[in-house]
Amino acid sequence: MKQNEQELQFLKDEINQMWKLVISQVERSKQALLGGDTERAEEVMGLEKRVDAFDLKMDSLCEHYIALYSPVAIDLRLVLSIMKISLTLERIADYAVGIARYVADGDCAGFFAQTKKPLEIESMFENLLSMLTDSQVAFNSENARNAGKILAKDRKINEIYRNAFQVLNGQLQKEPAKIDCGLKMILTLQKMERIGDHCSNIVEEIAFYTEAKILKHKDRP
Amino acid sequence: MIEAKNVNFYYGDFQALRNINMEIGQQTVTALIGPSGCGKSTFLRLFNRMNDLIENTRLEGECVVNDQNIYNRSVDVDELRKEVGMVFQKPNPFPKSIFENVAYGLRVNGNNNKKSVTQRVEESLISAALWDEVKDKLHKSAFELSGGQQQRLCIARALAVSPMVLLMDEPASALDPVSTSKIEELIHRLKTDYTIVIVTHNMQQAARVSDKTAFFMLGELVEYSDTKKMFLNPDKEATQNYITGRFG
Repeated sequence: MKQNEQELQFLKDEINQMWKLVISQVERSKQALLGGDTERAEEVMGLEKRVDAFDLKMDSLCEHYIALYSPVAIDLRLVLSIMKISLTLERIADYAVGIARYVADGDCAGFFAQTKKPLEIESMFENLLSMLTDSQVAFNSENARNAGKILAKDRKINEIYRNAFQVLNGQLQKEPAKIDCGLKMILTLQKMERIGDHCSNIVEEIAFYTEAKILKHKDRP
Repeated sequence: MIEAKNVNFYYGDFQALRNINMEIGQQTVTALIGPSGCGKSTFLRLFNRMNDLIENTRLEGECVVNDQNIYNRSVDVDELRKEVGMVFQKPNPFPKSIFENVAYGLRVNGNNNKKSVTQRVEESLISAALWDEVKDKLHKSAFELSGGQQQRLCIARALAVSPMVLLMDEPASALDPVSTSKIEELIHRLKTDYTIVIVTHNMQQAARVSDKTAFFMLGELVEYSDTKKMFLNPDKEATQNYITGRFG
């Protein structure tokens, strides 16, 4: 393998490590929220710095690669995609930490436990985790053919998110004193919905990397 | 304006170019890239008949400049070379003064009017971005100039006879980065008045200076498209492998 290819492989390996860590952060925030597990929530918060360090490292590695190798064609698209995916993964991890913080506060454990089922929190998380892992597979196999399937999961998440307002409204009418917890839950759901949007952005980057297609700002079915 | 039609070219039995068809638009910069021996310099030299000087070569097809096949018997090669100037890899000034180097082509073409020659020399040196550096030493030897200045002098010499096309065969490969940058800037400015075809081994240079890029391999034109497309998303795998350094 040429030096140039070794460096690109190293970039891929590093972004995969970061991806794995971010998936585990989302998985932990899921366990924390669904189980009311404050210790797990603390773990998520404690690992935030590692994700941030990865983000800085990816920026630096990509900058060096561009400066030293002046990549073009698929190599250029790969490096540009890795820079954007790294930034996006860091934001996803921030949302996971945000969710974990609400769990760690511990003051709404009962309300969260009571509403998680009607709000379909588990299904939302499953879709998010599936988007993250499927997009990682697409990236590594240099194949954006499953982009449509992955993006469909984001639409499912958005649907659950939209329905959540009605569910929460009904719940809060029964328990108006829990308005603070209701707001926290809305913000939690909003973070999950945003994670879905970021996963879609990753899929767009993979389509750019593998096929030089621009999906960004295009209407989706 | 420039066109190759079904061009095949042979050095003896060796076929250096294979069925090349290519149109080059006016006032554009076209970069020819490809591994050593791929035929890009041979192709470039066809357009001012430099290959005529090599024995035992043979051309099939047509090379058209200004709607005329330049290999027609009726074409005067000296006249052709006034229309199609050439700049080579290594600066090759004549052992004369800076002024006389630029004036040379004018005098050979019968212009002996002192005022007219002086004016054209100045215009050419200005166009070649060299005037400010040499205006006070026009009668000093061209060999006193740096390599980069000598190359711009050769460009001024080519421009003096008012060509329409400039062929450049790796014009910056022997120059330092500062001189290279000046040549590239010059190419940018010249394309408003001239059609430029440049052979380069430097991928970044091709990407920076050209509007269109042609990739040659083993005597064939593999891909010819807009430079931006070529360097972001080439159509052919061979092009991608070459420009990303996978082979070549």
